[in-house]
Amino acid sequence: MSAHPQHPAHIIRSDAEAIAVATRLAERFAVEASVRDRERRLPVAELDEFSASGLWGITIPKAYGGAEVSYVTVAEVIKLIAAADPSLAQIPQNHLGVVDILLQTGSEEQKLHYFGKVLAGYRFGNAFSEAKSKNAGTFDTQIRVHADHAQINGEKFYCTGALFAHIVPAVGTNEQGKALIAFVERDAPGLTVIDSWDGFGQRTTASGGVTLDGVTVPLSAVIPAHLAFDQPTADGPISQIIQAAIDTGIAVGALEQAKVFARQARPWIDSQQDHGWQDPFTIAAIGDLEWRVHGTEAILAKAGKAVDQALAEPNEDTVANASLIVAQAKVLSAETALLASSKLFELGGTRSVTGKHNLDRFWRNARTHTLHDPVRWKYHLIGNFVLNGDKPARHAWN
Amino acid sequence: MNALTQPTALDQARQLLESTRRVLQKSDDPYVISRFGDWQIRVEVAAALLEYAETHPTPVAATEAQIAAAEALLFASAAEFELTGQRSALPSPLEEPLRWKYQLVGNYHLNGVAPGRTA
Repeated sequence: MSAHPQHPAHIIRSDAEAIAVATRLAERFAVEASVRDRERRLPVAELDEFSASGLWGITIPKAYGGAEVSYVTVAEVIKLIAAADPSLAQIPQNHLGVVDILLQTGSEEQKLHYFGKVLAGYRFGNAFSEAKSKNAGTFDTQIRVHADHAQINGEKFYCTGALFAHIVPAVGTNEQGKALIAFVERDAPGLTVIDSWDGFGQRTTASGGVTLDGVTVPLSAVIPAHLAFDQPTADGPISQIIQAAIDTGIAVGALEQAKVFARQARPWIDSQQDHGWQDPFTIAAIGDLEWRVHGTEAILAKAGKAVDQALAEPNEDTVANASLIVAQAKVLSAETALLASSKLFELGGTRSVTGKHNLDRFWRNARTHTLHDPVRWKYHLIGNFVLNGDKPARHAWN
Repeated sequence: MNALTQPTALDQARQLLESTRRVLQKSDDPYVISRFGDWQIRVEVAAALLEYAETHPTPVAATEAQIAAAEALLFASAAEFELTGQRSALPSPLEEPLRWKYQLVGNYHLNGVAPGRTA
């Protein structure tokens, strides 16, 4: 992978254009989503089309030449793409998060430089998570800042997007234990991206490993990322709403297939009907899925508005409120994605499990992606505010 | 039944959440805390669907909001009993039974049959 895009990206100008572009792309991406999953065929051409469409730059502020769309729109865009192919929808997840961290913690020069790159079609990957550190929020990777450069050493995993990125932002801590992000060119000496992701779901995200072995970057490529959480900012909710949007999209995609296969199912003998779609239990089960999916979508939109509010007026209250509503979207999207992708088979009958349909990809993707951070702690996060008045902790997973 | 004076299922689910919260006051029990989180989600999703049905009406959007509200209230009465050992009297059965609302929504989304018509 080159450190530069092959073609300059289109620049999207409005929320409506972003939705229209995402709708059109989703239709195209849906066509071969099943084949890509089955063959674990990495979506190289699709990703070029995705980033060249301008959708990877829609959150860039207007002052820097972007459309600065609402996060209601961002969530809708990601949901639309995820309904077609959730692996493709997950690949820009960290890119969009990095754009916000730059906005929150980059210098004016860094914002001008990197936002310009994003608008030109550059894709950020990520080298954030580590499989061996104590927990998700601790990093063994070191970034050492010297007089005229910084050096990075470490080992990363779950690096969604890094394989396809032009620039790989890497998190590490300095001597004081503060988290920094270094923007590493994809072809920088010492950076190795390993295509080692073999999960049973989200198979074509290439969420594998990255090693950083004495990688050197100029100081202009390092941002004080920890500031995004030392102060109240929308960064945590932004990271999480993209997760929730992906899972909502999986639920939408699974429900669509559930209806297709429910309509084709044979009538059960005891129903005394002529067609499967007349089965009263099937009809009620679809009714149950529909309200749950629509409820999830409605909460996702509310979460988008709360994120916009936190971006416009960042303070303890607006950021806490965004975390709380995004957490609701996270819980509901995880629940409905898993439910719809399992009910799909119950309503489609045994013929729906035949290999040629590959419908298990919805459940595999839902189960895999919803593990990003455990939803069991989101019920707790919300309850702790309702019952005890305690605001959510600020980090990249809230 | 007067729709204007009768508290809605959603109102009652909210009231039960609030009265139960006042009984418990505070808790550091992770299971109690997360139960309240779950409860709040059920209330919020019903409220969001009600709002959505008003701004984006479809033949079954209001019914979907009614289902969400009824499920929130069922959750509320079970959670109240679990957390306080008391149970409020549930409202009288809805004029249209809840179980048939799923049928109504499903028949619209699966078969395109709008409420009030027969397939």
